[in-house]
Amino acid sequence: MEQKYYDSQNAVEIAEGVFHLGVEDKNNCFANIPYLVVDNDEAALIDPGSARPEFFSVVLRKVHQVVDPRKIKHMIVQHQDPDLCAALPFFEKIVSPDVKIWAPLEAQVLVQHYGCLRRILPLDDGDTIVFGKDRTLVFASIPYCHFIGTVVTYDVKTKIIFSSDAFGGFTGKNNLFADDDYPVQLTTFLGQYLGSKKALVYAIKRLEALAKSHGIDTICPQHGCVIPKEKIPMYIQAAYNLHVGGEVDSLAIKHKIDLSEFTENR
Amino acid sequence: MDYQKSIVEILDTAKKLTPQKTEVENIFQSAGIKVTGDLVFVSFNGNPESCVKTLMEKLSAMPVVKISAKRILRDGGITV
Ligand SMILES: [Fe+2]
Ligand SMILES: [Fe+2]
Repeated sequence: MEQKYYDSQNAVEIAEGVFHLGVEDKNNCFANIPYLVVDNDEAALIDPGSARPEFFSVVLRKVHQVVDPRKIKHMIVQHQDPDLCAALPFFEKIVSPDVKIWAPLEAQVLVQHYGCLRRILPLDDGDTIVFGKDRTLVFASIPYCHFIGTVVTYDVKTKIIFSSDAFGGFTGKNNLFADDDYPVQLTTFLGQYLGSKKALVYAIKRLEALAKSHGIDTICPQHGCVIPKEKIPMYIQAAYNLHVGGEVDSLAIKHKIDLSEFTENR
Repeated sequence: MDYQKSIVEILDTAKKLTPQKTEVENIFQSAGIKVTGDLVFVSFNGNPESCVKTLMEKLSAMPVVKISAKRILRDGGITV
């Protein structure tokens, strides 16, 4: 696949009605990527992004480029971290007056504290949202990857999985698609930010099962790069190989705490 | 413990994470680790262990490189 680059001006349509609204972050190597799914005059905004003005202004510009914000009927946050949902109260003022804001069951109690006026509606494993002309988003829980309430979102029409932090990577570059550097970018982010190998393996196997039953054409993480179909097996393998929870090992050595009987994260 | 091997891996990883090569080079130089502008290791200007210790302090200015360095040092059996 030919490499493409995103900028601060233009949303990129990566599949039918699916727009990458990414904001690059050279300083922190932590690109922040909201996605907008548009179908017949209605839209859903996934992981709306940061409240920092230099991030929010880019996402807002890209939303306006694609759709009148009042067409946004759903805002979905896949876990509670501020990089993906601190912008909710800003968007709440300009999207559809009857917008629904969704967050995973266990994250809902946290997300409310960003200050939205509406009640945050809970999402659980297997829930679906339908908008536009039968555009269907299905939610799958991947607990502890990296928060108890974490969901990923599957767009039935395009076979895209919006994976949030799972399959995310650190990069200061603005390439749209994962390149040869992505395994290192993935290892540095996901390897360090996850605590449980069991949770990671469950998440991978859940995606593999979904790929087998319905097909996955693209993985769209909230950080880093979009993973096209032909590269998915390579990154699944990279994820299986991750050593997670390593900070516990480091600090156990430093503080002379014996954890030798626990080897579950290798 | 192979300090040079870990430093080479930290530099290779940094190249894949950040386009800010000059900033990375300057931090390594300030920790007494000579590297080229293309982030290739040249030499330690002093005791490798203390250079690495200083490097980890200075890398706080580039958190993502420091996060990767922590992993690489741990995998190399180096505790700082
Ligand atoms: Fe997160
Ligand atoms: Fe995130």
